[in-house]
Amino acid sequence: MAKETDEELVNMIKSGGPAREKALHRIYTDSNIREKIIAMITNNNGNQQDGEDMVQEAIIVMDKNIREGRYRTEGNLQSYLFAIGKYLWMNQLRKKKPMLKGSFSDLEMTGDPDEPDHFLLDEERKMKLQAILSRLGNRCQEILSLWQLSFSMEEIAAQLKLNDASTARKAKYDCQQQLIKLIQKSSLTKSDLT
Amino acid sequence: MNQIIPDEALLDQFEAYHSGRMNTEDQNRFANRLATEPGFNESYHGFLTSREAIEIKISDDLKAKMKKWQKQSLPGGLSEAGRIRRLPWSAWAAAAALLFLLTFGFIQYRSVQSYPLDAIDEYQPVQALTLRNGDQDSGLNGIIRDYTSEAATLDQTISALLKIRPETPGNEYQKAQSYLAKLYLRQGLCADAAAAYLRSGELEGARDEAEIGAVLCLIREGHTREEINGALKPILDHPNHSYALAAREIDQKINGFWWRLFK
Repeated sequence: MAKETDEELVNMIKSGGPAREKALHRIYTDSNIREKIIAMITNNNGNQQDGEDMVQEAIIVMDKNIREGRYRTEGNLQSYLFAIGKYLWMNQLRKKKPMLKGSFSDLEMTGDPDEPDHFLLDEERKMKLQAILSRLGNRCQEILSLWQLSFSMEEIAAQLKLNDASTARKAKYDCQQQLIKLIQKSSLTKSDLT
Repeated sequence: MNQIIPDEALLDQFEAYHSGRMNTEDQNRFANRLATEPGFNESYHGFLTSREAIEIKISDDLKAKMKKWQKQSLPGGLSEAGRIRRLPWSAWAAAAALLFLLTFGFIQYRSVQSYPLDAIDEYQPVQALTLRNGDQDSGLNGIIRDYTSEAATLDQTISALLKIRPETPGNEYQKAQSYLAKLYLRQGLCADAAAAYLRSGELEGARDEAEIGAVLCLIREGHTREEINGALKPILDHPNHSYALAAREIDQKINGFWWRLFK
């Protein structure tokens, strides 16, 4: 099977649905990317497991950035992922060991083009959002996440065994309204938004 | 503030504005509403936050998938393989030494556990005489041959031997008692074995056999080392004893490290 180019992989992620999953699988199982990130972590106060975790975190951020149009086509995916992994690890180290702040200058990122602050979601806010999500119910979560991943209404209907696309569309609106109501009722006001 | 719960049409507008699918005119109108209508603004931010919440679910799902892929595509996980590869040589050496010690220890354990019966077989074997051409087989030898060829069971053999009476001509009775003693040893019937050894007393070497038989009986019954040593002493004290060599071997075995460890 021919290996997809970076551009093809990015397009597959952007198009969402099963193509996105295939592309992410391809990237995740690429031993070059994995080993490079893991080596960087193990050479900088981390162990193998930290490296594995960081590969996964970096792919999650990359996926989101590509879907939200924040990935630029300069450079290649491997160096992009490496830069994200490096940035995430640097942040984690700073949280764990503030005294090490000056000791990993080799990890410093220069002129990152992708606004690294986007990588991180405040933990407290994340917990609040998770609490809201848990009140939404699994089916609604599933419908909305498939929608957000650009699955078509036909695909959503098939995946969730709904009658047809219009039933899926109605369900999606209901779930979205339900979630927005929960958010409005919660303490997550506009001032919390970044 | 009046919060607006967006209906389907408004949700479509939010989606279009967020994804940049609005024309410039609609985009400006939408931006104007955001700036002037706090309820509308709040509602749009509720929509944005809902996307953010769903993004958490997407991330969690992707993480779970990657863990699954790790197991499927990278057997044992790259991390596991990596950890094994990175074990220092000293850890490998320690693991090998431990494995060797465990294996050797297990062999010794089995040897200690099977020793009572092995020792009886070695030092008090039950064997029929080999007949030469023209020799007449005795009834006693036939009984023992049946036993060693497994044509007769232990109990059947004991019953047959018990039928040989003291008044039987020759020394058949004493020989039968000697065999009986050895068979009782195998059954762990030490008192019976001791009595049988005693009844074979007129045979040559019977006293020596009775003494080694007593030692083997103590081992068979799981007595302490001190008790076994006590029974071994009279044999070890007499270098000309028929079982002096056997006694030394038994002495080494029961006073060795592994016996002390496992008994």
